[in-house]
Amino acid sequence: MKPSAAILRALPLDARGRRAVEEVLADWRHESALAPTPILRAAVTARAGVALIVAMTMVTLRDVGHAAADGLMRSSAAWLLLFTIAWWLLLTAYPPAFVERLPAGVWTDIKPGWVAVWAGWSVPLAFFGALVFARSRDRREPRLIGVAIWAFAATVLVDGWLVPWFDAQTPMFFGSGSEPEFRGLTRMGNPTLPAAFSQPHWNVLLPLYQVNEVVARATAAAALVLLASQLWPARPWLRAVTGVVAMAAIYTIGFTAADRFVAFLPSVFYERLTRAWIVPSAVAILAVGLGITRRRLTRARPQLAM
Amino acid sequence: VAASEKVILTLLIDLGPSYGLELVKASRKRLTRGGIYVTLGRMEEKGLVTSSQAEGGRRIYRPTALGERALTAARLFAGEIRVP
Repeated sequence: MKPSAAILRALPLDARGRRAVEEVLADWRHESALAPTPILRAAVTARAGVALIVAMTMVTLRDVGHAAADGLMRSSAAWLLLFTIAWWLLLTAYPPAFVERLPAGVWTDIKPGWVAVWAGWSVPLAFFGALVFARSRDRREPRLIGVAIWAFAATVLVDGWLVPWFDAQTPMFFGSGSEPEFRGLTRMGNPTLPAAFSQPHWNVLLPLYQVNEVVARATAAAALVLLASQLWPARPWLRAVTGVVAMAAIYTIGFTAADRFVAFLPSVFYERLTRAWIVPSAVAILAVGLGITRRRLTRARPQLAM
Repeated sequence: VAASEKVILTLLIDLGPSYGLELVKASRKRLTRGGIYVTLGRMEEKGLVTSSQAEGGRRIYRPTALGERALTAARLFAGEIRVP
């Protein structure tokens, strides 16, 4: 396989986007074959490179617009609402053990903050759920790049701004009261990402942790979209079962790895930074592995039929 | 039709069936190499142009009857031509 074809196959484009890029590459080959000197060939390559970037940008912008119009955003929002309700009910039925030690009424005050944190955690899974549980009649090929960008942006917005802001409205019950910056439960230090950079802080690494964690979650959201795209051709029941198993696994790994409520310690700097990337890495590896397996099975099928 | 679609349809009617690259070269910088295939794909979805596979993975584009009518309508609307 030629390198250009391999790169093209690896790009998460739909059929329309892939065709546009393929035609740019075909023009590149055509003009390159006609160029008589190495200098002219280099000029052709430079022009083709720019054309490729323009084509990819236009395909991406088109996909972002279409993804919003395809109804996926609505179903993702519905999934997020479902997760939020589920977390609310779960925390109402089974409040954490520390609640017994709190003064009366405090749990009612801080519960929305807890629910917001876990709802924020669920944003990547909301996009995943919307894709893998799409009804049969909605099974038009999704605009993957568009959905992935929306998932990334929504996660950054919710986890980087909305959740910390919401959480900062609740009083601080953990950590020392002498550090007012540590309000809320997320231990993100400051309510928003820009504020994390602009305000002087006793620990300069906190903004880094915050950005690292939010970007890792947003990357997980985009990787989950790619994973869902690998499940897309499967039968609806298989997609649903795989989706449930994947969600349970991702929540479990996330709870184990994220260490959300364990006291923040600067000494575990690298550990904390890398732990945030366990879920996105696992999901990306799974998506790539599934893609390779599917491709091999597709290639082997004609041979089996013979 | 959008401005770029109007340029493409005009060129396809003037030049006859053409490759995307030929349209870019003939457009005098009104079309770009990267953007034209996204526009042509969209126009094909709308039924304004049709294409067939040629050698080397390239495609030859030609206007459809709907595309020709859409161009006429766009020109009429812009006041470029008058109803005979």
